[in-house]
Parts: sequence; structure tokens; C-alpha cells
Amino acid sequence: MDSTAPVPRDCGQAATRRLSFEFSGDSREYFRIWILNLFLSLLTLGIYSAWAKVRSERYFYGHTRLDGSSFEYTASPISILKGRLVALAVVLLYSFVSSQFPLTAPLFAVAFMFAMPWLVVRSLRFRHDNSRYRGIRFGFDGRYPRALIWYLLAPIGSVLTVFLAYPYVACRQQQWLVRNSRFGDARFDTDLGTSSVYGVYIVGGGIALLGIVLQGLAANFIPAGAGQLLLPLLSVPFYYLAFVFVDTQMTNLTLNHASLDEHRFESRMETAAVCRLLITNTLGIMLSLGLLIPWAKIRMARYRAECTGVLFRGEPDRYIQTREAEQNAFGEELGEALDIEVGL
Amino acid sequence: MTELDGYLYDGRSSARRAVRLSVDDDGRVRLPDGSLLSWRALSVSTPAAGGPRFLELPAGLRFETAQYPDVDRLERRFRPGAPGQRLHRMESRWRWVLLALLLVILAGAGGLRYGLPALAKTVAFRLPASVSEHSSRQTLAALDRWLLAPTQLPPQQQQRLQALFDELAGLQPAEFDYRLHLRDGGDLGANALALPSGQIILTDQLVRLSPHPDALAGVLAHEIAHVQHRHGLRRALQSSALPLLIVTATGDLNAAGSLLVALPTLLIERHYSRSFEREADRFALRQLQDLNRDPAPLVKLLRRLEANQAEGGQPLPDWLRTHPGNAERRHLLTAD
Repeated sequence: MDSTAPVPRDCGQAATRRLSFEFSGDSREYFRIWILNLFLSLLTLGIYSAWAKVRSERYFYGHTRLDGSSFEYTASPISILKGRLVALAVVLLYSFVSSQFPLTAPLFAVAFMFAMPWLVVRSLRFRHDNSRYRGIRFGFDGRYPRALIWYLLAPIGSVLTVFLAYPYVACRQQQWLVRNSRFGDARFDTDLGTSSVYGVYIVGGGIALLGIVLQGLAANFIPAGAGQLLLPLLSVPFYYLAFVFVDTQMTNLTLNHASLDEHRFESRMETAAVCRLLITNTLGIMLSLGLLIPWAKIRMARYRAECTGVLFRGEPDRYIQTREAEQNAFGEELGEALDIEVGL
Repeated sequence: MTELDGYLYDGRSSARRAVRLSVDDDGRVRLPDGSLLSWRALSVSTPAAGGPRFLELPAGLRFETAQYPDVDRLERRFRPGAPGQRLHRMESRWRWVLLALLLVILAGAGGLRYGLPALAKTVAFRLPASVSEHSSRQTLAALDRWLLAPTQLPPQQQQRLQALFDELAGLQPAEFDYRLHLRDGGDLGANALALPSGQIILTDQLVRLSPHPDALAGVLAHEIAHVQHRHGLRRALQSSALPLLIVTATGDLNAAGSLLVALPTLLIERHYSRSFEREADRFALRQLQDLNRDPAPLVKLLRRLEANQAEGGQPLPDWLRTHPGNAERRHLLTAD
């Protein structure tokens, strides 16, 4: 690929260029990386998995280009390994202690609830600090108190409002994420408003409600017996669709309202396309007993990159590197073990 | 002579410059400012299949190029054996990839089938028998509160069952304190349970299903086997390690990930459970033989249990069951 064509230098004060992210990963190529990673991880009883993770992240970052420059993942495998070992110890301790002393489970649950916002902060910080573009690091400045409010206290509070306030909370979460993210010395900003987030959640809620109504109607037509047991299956696809819809549209909204100084972002993912991808990926992985995982990951990354773009006004060339303290990977790895996934 | 096109970054700001580096046949790199540098003095990012390569130049300058094969050739020529090259070569040969694939499948299957159960067994037998006391007490209290009711069996029958149980418990090594708890099964129906510390629960419904002492001795011996072989603890250890193993092996899956991890986990856990049940059946058979009791009534009891379950609806296919199929169990118990 010829991505090294000379770049037009500042022609005019603010020439606007619309550029899409490009993803050049290939599933066969990534399959080979993936299977050797897996093999070496098994051979070393999991120790290599930290190196494997770096290798695979570097593949995805390196193959993601914007305006001819690619992204870099710079985490050190050793800090990931340390994080994994601590995370492993915590998870083993938890699952063993709670299976032997069932009454301690609620205590653990409360402790984890309060640790979760901390994990969110740590994991974002680790990931941002280890991402580079044009030689400049990203960064994340969010702190625990705000994370505690928007990721734990406010969602719990929204239960009291029968979740009517939840879209507001989701909106504040996105604002917190974007406004605390940095590229070099510059903060991202957002003009995301509550009303558009409500719009997304109302449609999502409507889809889920439709599933419930259909199930209720069908219950009148199906005779009692084995058929009734299958009824919940009728509403599950609607819940799944509602979930994917909210997830996709929130990503679109967040990016479409985000900005870095005068540069803006855009995201045009479509719920139907994401659903198609997720369903075919899941089927492929199941039928291949996991061997198509690399294919699934590449397809998803490609779709996301294609749908994401940047509107550059002028050249993004005056961002300054800031010094960063080395972050350890504990938060990110524990978060991953507990399936916490936050990101832009 | 090789020419590399790419971008030059100063490492302090996001500004970049499109430049061309030329490398001559002696491995000298001509930088944009005209100075010469040996290729060996550069640090080159480790290869990641087809992605960009970064060259670290003096004074914090970095050069990014998409000419992957050219950098690869230069590296092989001027710096053979640099870290990462061997791995990269393995990744680019299908022969190595297929070998890795084969070994991964073998190691995965072997580890799940033999490795993890063996490891859990070793750990479980190293732990003191008292680790499960607390949890068993809590579980029994919870069962009594939510599911079970006091037994309705006549006192005479209770005494006979207790005597039968004492006879069996007397044969066992003194590690565990075996206790029999007779209960009305309620929603649980005809069933028998063993808690890891040696508490064994037998429901009235099961006793009524087959009052023959040989059948009940078989059931009790089966439950004692679960305690003695520490199945409860082994199950706890195996199921806490399993999801972790699967997630580690498959990497970070999100979105559809939970279902993709939950399903194989369930199937493998059911497989482990069935092999525990087989172990307990074999133990029960040996105990019955030692006591000169007849295994035939136990087989009859299993058949009645099966008929009971069949009334409740479709039986599950074998691979989804927690217990081996009844045909298999009957076969095991009548084999010799």
C-alpha cells in the first residue's frame, strides 16, 4: 500500500479534510500470530500470554492508519504479566473463598462494586498511556471520585427513578470519558447533550418492550405445556437487538460530538450491520470450535475503522508530548478478567 | 541501495515530515540532514506481520515506514538474529502454524480431560478435611430453611436406616464425621445429597421409592463416595479455574464473548460431574460387594428414578446431564 505520498502542507488557514481510519489487518495473517501466541502461552503455562497480548495489540494498532500514520501500542509485557498475576490471585481467591464460605459472597460483591470505578480509571489510564499516534501519547486524567459517582452511585440512584434517569447517567459517563482523555497535552471535548442520549434509550427501550408484548400475545395462542417453556426465546432476540442498538448508537453519538480543538470526529456504524457481524462471528466461532476467533476480531476491527473518521481542520501537528509516570497494568488486567470493557 | 519512504517524527510534537532514507550496500543510512549512520546502530521495532516499522534515530527522532518487506530484508542482512526475527519467521511458515495448531488442540483437550482434574485432585487431597465444614453447615441450614422439611418416616424405619448408615460409615477411614440427615424432600423429590464435610441427606421420597435395604445401602455408599473422594472441593476448584483458562486461551472476547465462554464451560463442567458420579457408582458397587449385599435392587431403584423423571418431560441428552445416562450406570453396576 502506498501511504507515503507527500502530504499537502498548510494550504490556507483551515483546509478541512475528511479522513477515514484505515484498517489493513488480514485474517489469515492474524490467525498465524494468534495460533502461535496460543501455542507459546500453553507451552509456558500462561506466562507468555502477556507477550502474546502485546503482540496481538501491536498487530491491530499497527494496521490501523489515519492520514498515513499508524497507531502504536507501547505497553511492556512485563507490566502486563505482573498485572495478570495479581488479577489471577484475586479471582482465584474470590471464587475459592466464596465457594467455601457462601456467606462471604455479598461482602466480596460490595468490595468489588466499590473497586469497579477504580478499575475503570486504571484500565483507561493504562490503555491511553500506551497508545501512540505520530509519536505522541494519549493520556487519561479521570480520577476515582468522579468515576465512583458516574459508574456506581448514579446508576444505583437511577434505579429509584425506575431507570428514567439512566440515559442522563449514561450521558454523563460519556462526557467524563471524553473530557478526561488527552492527546499529548490537549484534552478532548464533547458537546454531547442529554436529549440525544434519551432518544437512543427510548428507541432501545421500545425494541425491548416490543419483545415483551409479542411474548405476551403469543402466550395466549400457545397451549400450556412444553411450548410455554420456549416462550422466553421469543423476546431474547429483541433484548439482544436493543442492546446492540444502544451500544452502537451511543458509540456513534459519543464520537460525533467529540472534538480535539478544531478537529472533529465522526462515526457512522449501523445497528443492522453490527448485528449481522456479531451473529455471523458468533456462529463462525461456535462451528469452528474457536478457530475463527481471529477472523471475527479482524472483521469487527475493519468495520469499526471503516465507519470512523476525522474531520481535520489544518494539520494536527502542534500537540506536545507530556511526561508520564509508568503505569502498572493491574487495573486493566483485573478489569479484563472481570469483563469490564470501557473505551471510546 | 534501498530507499525507504515514510514519516519522520521529532518525538516532542505531533508534527511530521515526509522523508526518504537511503541505505547503501554497506548498511549505511543517509539521514535527511545528510549525515550517515550505520544500520546496526539503529533500533528497529520488532516485526508485527505486515504492519508499520519504526526506526529509532538519534536525538529522539523516529521514522515510520510502511515498507515492511524492505525493512525485513535490511534487518536480515545487516543484523541477523535480532530479537523477534525467529518468531516472525515461524509465523510466516504454514508448516509451523499447522504444528502449533495441532499441539494447541492436543494440549487443550489433554489439559481439560486429564490435567485440570488431576491438579484439582492433588490440591483437594492436600487440604485438611475440615476446610469444608463451615460451608457444609451453612448449606445444610439453607436447605432446611428453603427446600427441606422434617422427615415423615415412622421412627422404626428411621432407626433401621440409621443402623444401615452406621454400618457403612464404620467401614470408612476416620477423616470425616459422617452424619445421616433424613428429610422430607419437598420440591427436591426423591433424592440424596452429600455435603463435603460428611453430612448426607436422604429424602423420604427416595426411601419410599425403594425401601429395600440393599438399594438404600447403595445410595448411601454412593453419597459417602462423594465425600471421601472430595468431589465437592474438586468441583469448586475445577470450576473456578475453568472460565479463567478458557478466557486466557481465547484472548479478550467482548460482545458475544460471554455466551461463547459460558457454553463450553457448562459442557465441560457437566463432563467433570459425570466422571465424579461414575467414580461414586464404582465405589458403591465395591462397598455392596464387601457387605455381601446385592446390587440388583440399586439398579431397580435407578430404573424407577428414571421413570419418575420421564414423567416430568423430555430427558436431557447424555452430554448435558450432570449424571451419566441410566443405561450406562446400570451397565456399570451389573457388569460383574
